[in-house]
Amino acid sequence: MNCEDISELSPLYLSRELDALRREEFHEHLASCPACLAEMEQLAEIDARVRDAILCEDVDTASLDRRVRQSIVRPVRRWLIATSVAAAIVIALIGYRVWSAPDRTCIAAADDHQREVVAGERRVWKLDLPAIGELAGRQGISSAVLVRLAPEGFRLERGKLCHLNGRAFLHLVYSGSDGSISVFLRQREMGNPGGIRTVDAGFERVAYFDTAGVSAIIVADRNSESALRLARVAAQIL
Amino acid sequence: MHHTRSLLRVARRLTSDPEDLVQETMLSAWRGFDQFRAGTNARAWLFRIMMNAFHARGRRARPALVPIDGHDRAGGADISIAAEVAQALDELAIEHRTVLLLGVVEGFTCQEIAEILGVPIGTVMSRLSRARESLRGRLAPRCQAKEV
Repeated sequence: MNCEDISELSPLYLSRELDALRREEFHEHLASCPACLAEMEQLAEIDARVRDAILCEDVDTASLDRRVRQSIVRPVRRWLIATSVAAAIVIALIGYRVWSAPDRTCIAAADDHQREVVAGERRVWKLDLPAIGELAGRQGISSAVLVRLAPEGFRLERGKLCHLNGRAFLHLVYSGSDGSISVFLRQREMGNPGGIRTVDAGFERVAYFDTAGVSAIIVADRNSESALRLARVAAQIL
Repeated sequence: MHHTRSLLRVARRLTSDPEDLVQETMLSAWRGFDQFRAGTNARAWLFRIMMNAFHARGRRARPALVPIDGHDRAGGADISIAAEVAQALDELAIEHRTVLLLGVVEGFTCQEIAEILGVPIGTVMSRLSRARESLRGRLAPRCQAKEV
């Protein structure tokens, strides 16, 4: 390699895209050419300064995340309104009661998962099983099921009480090599069991169902089938 | 939300309405999620959507800052080095700024940048070289002024 080659290939060298052979030739030339060596050191220094300058800036995405979530949810609601006709208002009102309330709760659950689990917003969590079990007891849920709910490869990591759409839920986080899954549980006063339903909320997939005594919402990454898989297991345990 | 921080960090240095651009990007990604091929680079895919949106709409680019003279470019003694580097970056032409942000700050390879921008890899390499050269030229007088 000569000095011209070094100059031409410098972007690939700095981005570590040179294959082993060309990288070795590159290094050989630098070892024998002080001018090229100084040039590369300067370019690497400039890169480091740019990285430091830009990465040290504070980037607050909280308001943007809210805007994105709203813009994703809104078209779905607009479509529903557009397809409603006047004669179906009564049906729509009934549908609102059975569909919209759980949907809003699921969106809130996905939002909690995103902020508190994925983004790691600071919250007070119970980390040991007895303490989490006590929280579960307050929700009328047996602590014995908490560990059994963990899917294969996951373990119960933490828990706390939270409010979704104005209702108290027990928020459990199960962690494994495939990421983290949030499980939201709440005791039901009455009602008939329902099948498992899923809804996509932004980058999360939410599965939810009711047993005779418990309402459960499970949130996982949209790319994974974890939410649905865990919901099937949980529906049997709960 | 995944990757919004990276997208916003770059968008802030490209356009005067960065949050709108990233919001549009995320909405497009959500609507076109079926087009994403599992196993490929999701981050590069999002940046490609953002750069397409940026160019397709003829979005008002954040103007390159033009220094008044050498003395002003040197800046006051209280301006931090990081602020000077950021200002020098903002003075670069938009295509030079873009490749530096994608390659140096966000860590994309030249090949990935070429795919994000839809240009040949040779174009990316030459833009990166010119961008680094241009940045060095802008930073040198500042450093000399500091040393005086």
